[in-house]
Amino acid sequence: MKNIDILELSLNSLQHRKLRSWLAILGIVIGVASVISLISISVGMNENIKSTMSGIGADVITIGSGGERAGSMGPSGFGGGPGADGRSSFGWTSSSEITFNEADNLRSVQGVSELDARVSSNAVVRYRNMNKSLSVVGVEAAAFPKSSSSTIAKGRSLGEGDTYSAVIGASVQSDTFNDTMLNKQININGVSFKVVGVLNESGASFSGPDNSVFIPQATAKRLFNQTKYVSSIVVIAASEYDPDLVADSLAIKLRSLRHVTNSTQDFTISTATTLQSTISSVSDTLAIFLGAIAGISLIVGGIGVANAMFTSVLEQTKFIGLMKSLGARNSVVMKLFVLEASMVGFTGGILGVLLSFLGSILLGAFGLPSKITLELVLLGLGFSVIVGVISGLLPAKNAASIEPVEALRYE
Amino acid sequence: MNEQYGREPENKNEPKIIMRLVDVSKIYGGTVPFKALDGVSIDIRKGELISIVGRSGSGKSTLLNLLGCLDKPTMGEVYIKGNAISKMSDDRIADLRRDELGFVFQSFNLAPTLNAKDNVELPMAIKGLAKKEREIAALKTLESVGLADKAENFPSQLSGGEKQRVAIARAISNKPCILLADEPTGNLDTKSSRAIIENLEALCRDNGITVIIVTHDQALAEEADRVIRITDGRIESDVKRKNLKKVKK
Ligand SMILES: Nc1ncnc2c1ncn2[C@@H]1O[C@H](COP(=O)(O)OP(=O)(O)OP(=O)(O)O)[C@@H](O)[C@H]1O
Ligand SMILES: [Mg+2]
Repeated sequence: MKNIDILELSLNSLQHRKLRSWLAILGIVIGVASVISLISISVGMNENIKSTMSGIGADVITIGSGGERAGSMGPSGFGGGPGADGRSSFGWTSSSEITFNEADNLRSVQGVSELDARVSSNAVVRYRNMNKSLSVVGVEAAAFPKSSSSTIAKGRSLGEGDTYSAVIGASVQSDTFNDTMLNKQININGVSFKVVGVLNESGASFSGPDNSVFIPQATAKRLFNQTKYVSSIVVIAASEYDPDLVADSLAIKLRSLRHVTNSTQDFTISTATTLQSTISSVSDTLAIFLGAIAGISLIVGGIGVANAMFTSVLEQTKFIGLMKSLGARNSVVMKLFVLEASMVGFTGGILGVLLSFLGSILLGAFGLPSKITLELVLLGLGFSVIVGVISGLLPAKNAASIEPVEALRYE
Repeated sequence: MNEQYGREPENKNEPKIIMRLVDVSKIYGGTVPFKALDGVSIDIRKGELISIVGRSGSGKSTLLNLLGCLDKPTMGEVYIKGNAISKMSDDRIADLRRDELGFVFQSFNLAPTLNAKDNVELPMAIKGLAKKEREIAALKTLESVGLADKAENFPSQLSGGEKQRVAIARAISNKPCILLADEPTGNLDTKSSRAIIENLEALCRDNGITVIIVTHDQALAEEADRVIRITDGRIESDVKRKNLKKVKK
């Protein structure tokens, strides 16, 4: 039998069983769309995490007060955001806090390029007639260009001579007050500051420098009446040193200064590496979770596809018997159903991909990041065609292998 | 091997044997195995018009299915033109059905999604004939069974008798040497039955096709050259036409 005639026959069969064919296609569409959507969430989340990670400088070491508790709060060093403001949110006892004295002693540790002992607090920031509670961070002007995880977009950084100058995070300008704020006055806890610089977006989606206001450290000490204890220390390792080794040296020095041992250590010290391992363990768990869901949806989708093809072939058992009784070889019967199955699978796959793009937009509207890659599209199409063909092939092989009379008897 | 049964010294007076059943039994499986045919042997010669009669459940369809290579015997051997079916590959048997055998089913078995012409074309398409060639041949065959004007009708738009004539046209479209019909007039009125049988007879006479018909209809059966009567899976009688009258008395 000529291939063109086989094709015509499969098309004829699909056309005449429109509702059935569309139901089969629908089964595949749902299977493919759910597979692609779920995997795309996993991909999207991973991308999100990656872009967050890229905002963390590899040479940044962050030291915060507190023991295990601080460890569990994780990224205390995201550029000195509210996370650094541990005191107000966690109520640690002052005895466990790091003093400016201790911070100063750390400056001489080998491999330390810059050290920024920060004082931070949430404060009411007033601009024009708007009052907003923001994280205000006192930083050392000399270290700030390096200890800040984002660069200056407009204006300048803080200088040694500044007292009532402020550098604001990108979203303070664009979201919080929504105005061009360079060279304008803002008011923090009743004290007037001039905005001398605006930072670029850091990209970090966790509350980071984007939502903070940076002022000179000395001013902040006075403003928040916090002259003894630092909120956090941001250290930049010299380029020729391994930040993790520098972090070790800092920890040893700080332990001896505070008379604590490894086990009684009452501060946390984190580097890009420790942060990354924390984050990647989270994202690994997430990936496993979403992978499992994707796996389940592959199975469910596969069963949907298989079921659709199985019924389609079973329904045509009689036709298979007829074809065979008229002298069609088994290979012709198989070809007929493989063609039919792959057309159903392919159509279902294409529509499923389209549906998953819609789903992705919908997920985005609910704030779930999702990303459909070319590989995912190919996976979806390949999956639907392969599962479709296999699940069309098996019952067709069955039906083709029985004697024509048996197949003809099927009702 | 099969030569022993399949080919015999040619008898000058009689046409050659084209199909032969040797000691064929068919046992249907299931919870209670059932022996539908029990040691049946038949020779069928070229150009014969044979009718197979017997009570319901006697094994007529079973026999015809074996003759049409639509099923395989549990025991015994079926030879077509001297070749044993059991020694053939599935593909060869399929080719045999396509090239040598034509089957008319009691229940028509027309493809519901194809119109009359396409149904008749189907065996030719399976054979690999070109579309043009098929179309011309199909229309000609439909004309020969008096259905030229119903070529575009789908099975659902045909009467029972018309459907059966389409089925006959389909069965002969590849010019088989053996045509098998299982109660082709089973649920048709007398007039339609007659038309069908006349069609089959004409085929047999004009083209030298061997025609084997299973029927309940005594009058119809007696039109045949040879009547094979089946009882409980065995051949009760196998009578050539010239002897028919004697047997009936
Ligand atoms: N697939 C099957 N499985 C089990 N038993 C079967 C099967 N097909 C037929 N039989 C049995 O075999 C016997 C012969 O069946 P067959 O169809 O050959 O009868 P028949 O002579 O054609 O009858 P009818 O005139 O009613 O068509 C019957 O008793 C039937 O019940
Ligand atoms: Mg029968």
